[in-house]
Amino acid sequence: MLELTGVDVTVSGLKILDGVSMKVPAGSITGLIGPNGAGKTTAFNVVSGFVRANSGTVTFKGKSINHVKTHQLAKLGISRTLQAVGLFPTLTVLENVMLGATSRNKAGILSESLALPWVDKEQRVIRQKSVEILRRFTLDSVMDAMPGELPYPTQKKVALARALVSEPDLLLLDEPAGGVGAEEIRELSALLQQLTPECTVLLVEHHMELVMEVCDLIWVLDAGKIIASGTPAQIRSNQDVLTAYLGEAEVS
Amino acid sequence: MRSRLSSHAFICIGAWLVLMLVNNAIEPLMSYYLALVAMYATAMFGMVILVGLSGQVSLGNGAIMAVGAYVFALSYQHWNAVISMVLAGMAGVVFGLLLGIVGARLRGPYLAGLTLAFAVGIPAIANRFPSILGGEDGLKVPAPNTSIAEVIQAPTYDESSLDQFLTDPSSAGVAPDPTSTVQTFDTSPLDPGSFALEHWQASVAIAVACIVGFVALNLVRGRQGLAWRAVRDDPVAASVVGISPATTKVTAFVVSSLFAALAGGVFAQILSFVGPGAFGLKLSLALLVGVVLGGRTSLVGALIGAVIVVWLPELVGSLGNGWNDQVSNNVPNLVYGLLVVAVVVFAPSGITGLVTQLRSFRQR
Amino acid sequence: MNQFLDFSLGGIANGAVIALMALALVLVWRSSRVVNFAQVGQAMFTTFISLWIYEVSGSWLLALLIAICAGAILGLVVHLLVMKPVRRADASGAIIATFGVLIALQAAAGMIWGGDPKAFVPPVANSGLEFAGRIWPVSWYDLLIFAVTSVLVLALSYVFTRTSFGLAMRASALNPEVARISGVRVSRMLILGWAMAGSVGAIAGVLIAPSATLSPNSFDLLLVFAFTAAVIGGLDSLVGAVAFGVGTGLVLSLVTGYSDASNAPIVSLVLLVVILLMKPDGFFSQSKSRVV
Repeated sequence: MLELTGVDVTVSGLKILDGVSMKVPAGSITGLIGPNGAGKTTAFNVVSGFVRANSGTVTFKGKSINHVKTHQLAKLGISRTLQAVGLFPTLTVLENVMLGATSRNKAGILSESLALPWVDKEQRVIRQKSVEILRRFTLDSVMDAMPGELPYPTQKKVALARALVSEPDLLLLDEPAGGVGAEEIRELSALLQQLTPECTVLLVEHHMELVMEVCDLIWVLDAGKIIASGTPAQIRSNQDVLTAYLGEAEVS
Repeated sequence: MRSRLSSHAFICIGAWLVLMLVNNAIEPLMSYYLALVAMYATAMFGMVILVGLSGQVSLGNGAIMAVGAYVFALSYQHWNAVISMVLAGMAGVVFGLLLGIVGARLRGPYLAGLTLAFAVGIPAIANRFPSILGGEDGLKVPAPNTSIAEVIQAPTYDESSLDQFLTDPSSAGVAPDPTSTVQTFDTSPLDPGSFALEHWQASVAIAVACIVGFVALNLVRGRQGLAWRAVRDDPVAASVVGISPATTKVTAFVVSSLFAALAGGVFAQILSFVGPGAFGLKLSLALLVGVVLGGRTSLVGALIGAVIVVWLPELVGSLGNGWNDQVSNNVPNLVYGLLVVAVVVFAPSGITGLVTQLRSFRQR
Repeated sequence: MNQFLDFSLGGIANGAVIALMALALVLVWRSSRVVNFAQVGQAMFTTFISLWIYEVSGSWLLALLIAICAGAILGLVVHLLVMKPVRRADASGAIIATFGVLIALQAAAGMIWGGDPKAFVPPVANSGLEFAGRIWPVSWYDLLIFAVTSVLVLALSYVFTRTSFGLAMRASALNPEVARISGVRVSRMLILGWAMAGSVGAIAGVLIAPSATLSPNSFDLLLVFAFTAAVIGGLDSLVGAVAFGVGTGLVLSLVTGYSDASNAPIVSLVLLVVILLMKPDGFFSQSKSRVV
């Protein structure tokens, strides 16, 4: 589904990613882990077009997306969440989610400006879809709330709903378990397993239990280089990984 | 659920009908103010989109109004008013696109400064091409129907209301006359309520404002409105959900410039004249003041802003009978300036925001 | 060639004043990340005060000193009463508020001193000097402008680069959080930044007034030119503001000389557009845009 080949990223003389090659097989939940500062988020940003690779290629469904702009990815079927939640503070929860669904919209500004009937219909469909997904996430009671009024874990759920409402083929999750409680993590784990194999998931996460539980395949990044890859069991017993993590986080 | 098309059309046609009835019932002087309010509202709808929703503080819209007004005046020498308005709107789109392409890349203060230079620079161009654009003297916009115009002796409007706004009386295009021709209208042989030039001008202004209002409503309450607010709130998150921040910002410029240019075309007809003096920095500032006071993110706020900008100078004028001109001419601006500061500090969403807060407070 | 030389020389004095006003904009930007569009309004107001003192006392130096003090006080007032209470999250609000202050100051000046342009008689002759058999486009007054500007720029750069106070000021501008932890009183630095900017702007106002006339709106163009210069210099850089201020003055003088004065705002606009297209953050800018 997604493939990085020999990706280098250098920022002001510092090599953040050094020849990173990794694959995310279709229908899998793939994890990307590594100690702080290993370059995980940068790898994510390369995929989502925020950071350009100095060399190497990123392909999605066999096509290069090196030069695709961030906002065009949604149309291709790639959706992501942000580490800092990134909900729009002045839009209601429903509006936030609706925006996630508009990426495949066809209405142009001219037909929008005249509120032509089919634009309305499209809008209604989007609204319906958004309400449905909010219901599925048991968020329908806070539909009209502002994101700032909600507790942090709920905000994260809204962000996840927003990323999923466009029915992406590939979902990039940036630390979905960060700052949320055990209960929500269990929910998250169940949800991720429900999503596949229709949707492929790439996960950057510090919470090892979750990663080990849901991932089919794990890539380990350290100091900008891939040092290991394999199933959770293989990673757990890998000596390099243990060394890289020593003093960083307890490997369960 | 009723479709947006029908509900928005209902609002706008309703507003149009009511305003036209009002227009026919009032004296020419009031009609003149009504025309100004409608004209300002047209431009301020665009300011709500650009400054309020997309979060780009621009002082360029006064200059875009000048573009619209000049294109209208030039075109009106050859073609009729409808074609001229269309051309004015197209010119607005082109200028909005150009300004947007440069401006959308810029962060707040840079954009404000660029558009400030734009507001000062564009009217100066009129002086560069005196043979086409008439230089300081400007261009005349003849009254639509000569027979009407002759009956009421084609008044030459001073820009009194504009002049009192952000004023430097000496720099205005037309010397203001305190005994304003507008007042002499009250004693004109025509019965109040008959169809004077003002009534015609107001009906043009109202029609344009209603059409623009319809488009603005559709955009603001549709996907586009969400996109503008999203990009203002968080461009990074917006791009993640598939909205191009750059395109969305440029779109805001284009739409608001279209509205501004149409307002400029209307302004040309209200003034019966187009000159660089009428479109200086003070006009741009007037638009900004209006939307900030009314409520930056609300179309209703734009309407309120338009009323304030036209009515406050008159109110002050009528209150300040005992003051000398030097004081009374400047009171409106002092009030505007202080109000703007107060609103930004204490009630960032303006009068409409205050009303909403009050209402939700009562409900509790 | 002679003409070119004349136009260039004639532009330097104006350029020096533009540089000072740009410097004022930069001082405020560095301290609080706001472009103070009211800066010329403040300068206009203090210049009126200064003119009044000058007419009453007859001493230009006293008038300048009063302007400096009034500028500092006005800068302080604007900062404490207006800019400080504006919510940090409301970036548009801060910009709009400065325009509110500008409108109010211009109206207040109009109320007190009237809208008619007033002449500010220069303390020394403002006509071209005769030297080496020809008349140069430089007057004693222009030389006075150079002198005041140079002293001011040198003093400021000394303060900023050589004193601990300047270091604290720079630190609080670059990273207020870190500066606060290191014991710098950031809020005091903000106040000082606004006060200094007010004084520098006031000096610029007093210096430029004799070359133009003084009315509530007469500094509007100066704002555009100074902003252009400050932006080209990157808004952060004192050196940039001064260099490009003088540069802008030169370019404008050449344009006005070879064509027409009314072209100046158009040229300034073109200059600004070109620079901003190439470098949306101006030259010399140290600030980076946000990354995810």
